[in-house]
Amino acid sequence: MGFFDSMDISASGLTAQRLRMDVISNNIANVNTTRTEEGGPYRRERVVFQERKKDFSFEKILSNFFKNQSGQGVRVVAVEKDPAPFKLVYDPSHPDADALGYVRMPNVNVVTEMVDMISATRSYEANVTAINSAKSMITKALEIGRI
Amino acid sequence: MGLFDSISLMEKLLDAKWLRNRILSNNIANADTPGYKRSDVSFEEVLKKNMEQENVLPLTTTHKNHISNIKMVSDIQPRIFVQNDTTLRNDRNNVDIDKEMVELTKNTLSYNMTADQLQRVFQLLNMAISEGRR
Repeated sequence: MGFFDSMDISASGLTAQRLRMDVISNNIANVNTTRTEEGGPYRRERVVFQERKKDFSFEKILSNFFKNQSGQGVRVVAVEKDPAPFKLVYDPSHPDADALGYVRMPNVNVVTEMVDMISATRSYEANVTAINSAKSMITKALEIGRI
Repeated sequence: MGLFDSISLMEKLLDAKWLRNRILSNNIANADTPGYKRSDVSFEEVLKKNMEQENVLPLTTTHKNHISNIKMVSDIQPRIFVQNDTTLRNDRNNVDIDKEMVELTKNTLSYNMTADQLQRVFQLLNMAISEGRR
């Protein structure tokens, strides 16, 4: 049980939420992108979180079973493409319009992204609060020796 | 009762609360992880159960290797458990962020309180030592 373990855990939360925020920003920035490298319009991306464990091997888990084992925070394992269908918008003057005048627009919903953004911000703040509480506990522990 | 009994008890308490801070931080970091189940630490409950043993008739022990039915404070360990039986959201995650924040604040405050008390015990000891010197 290390001294700065809980700070590391909260820091992993900060990193994960920041990456999530980056992906959301990228989605919002590309809300009107109709051309990408792989062809077709931009596909919305989203992050996948996973709990970070110290060690998965059986012996380690068994030998640590009676000790104080806990998770080691969170990590982003993948940035997935959203398989939802593209929006069809009627705009014959658009350079990427098909023969019928329809344009395939990215499957990004700005409102959903905004809500996700608020959620990421709040989670980030929660982790900051957790770091601050760990900090105050460490400071308090240092004061014990001071008579 | 030894001089350092209360100190070792408080030390145990601080250790348990530090561990709990880590577990709660982990819950908060995983508030958005699908399928994650929250963990928590029970120490006060274990301690209370141990304190209620006072009515138990103690076994006589004349050697340190004898089995005793009374647990010493130093033998009490905080216990980590995973709360598997609830689900809060559709992604099977059961971290209620408000609850975690409240628990974290409570834990931090009680840690600070215990640290203050421990410091006070040391101050008293220091006073007792230095008063005799005069």
